[in-house]
Amino acid sequence: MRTRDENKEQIVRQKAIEMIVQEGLDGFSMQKLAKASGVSPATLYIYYKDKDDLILKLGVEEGKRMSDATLQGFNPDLPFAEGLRIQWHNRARFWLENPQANYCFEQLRHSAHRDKIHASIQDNFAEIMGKFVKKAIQNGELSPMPIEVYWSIAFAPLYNLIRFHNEGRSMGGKPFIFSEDIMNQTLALVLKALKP
Amino acid sequence: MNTQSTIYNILIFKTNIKTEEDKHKIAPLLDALLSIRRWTVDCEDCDCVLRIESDNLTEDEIIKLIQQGGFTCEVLND
Repeated sequence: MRTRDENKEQIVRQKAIEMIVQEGLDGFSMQKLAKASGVSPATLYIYYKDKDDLILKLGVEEGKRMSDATLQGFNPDLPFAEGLRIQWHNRARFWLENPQANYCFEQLRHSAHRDKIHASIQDNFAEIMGKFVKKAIQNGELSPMPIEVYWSIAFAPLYNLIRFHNEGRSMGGKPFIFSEDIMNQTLALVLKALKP
Repeated sequence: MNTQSTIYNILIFKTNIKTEEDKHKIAPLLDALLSIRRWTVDCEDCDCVLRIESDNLTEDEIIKLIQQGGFTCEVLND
């Protein structure tokens, strides 16, 4: 009887993310991954039936990890400004602590698995976010606007700051380090823009 | 994450089932065995790994079956 080893599985997952980040989806194979993880190909095939299976499972798991982190301490009934503040803190923490996950998602976003991975993340995430936004509009805390406009104002500024941070530079190569001050300053402007 | 620590028996083989066509040739033999829950061949892999989820089949039984189908098959060792 072959058994699963959670530790090994964790190592394999970490190595797979590293390889996808460094070499892209086309660049990595089951054989290369087995070698990098220090497990035999046979062991790898116990966990996953092939490369596609691995990519899909990895994407679903990372997606779940991301949405769980984002929803920590959050509930859709919070006042809008408070809820968004928690969202920003959660998202900033996750993406700053998992810079590789970001590149990995970028790769997966362009893969054939996109829809399946998306479906698994969407599960309750979209529902909770939707409820939060709807309630804020009803309470007059948020201007009505298309969801794309909302997202672009509410979250894209944060992701851009994180991108600057990960690259270590902002415009024209100016050195940049993310800080709570910078985040709060940006969030205050975002809240101002979203207010009716 | 799968929290199951043990799942039914998984058997892993190195084969020369290289193409979709090869897979079609071998499919009737494997599909006919009710004790196989699921089988897959990774044709992309250099070992053309055959993976079998089964409750009670032995490695020897699978090897014999695949060889009867005209392909090579050996246990892929750890």
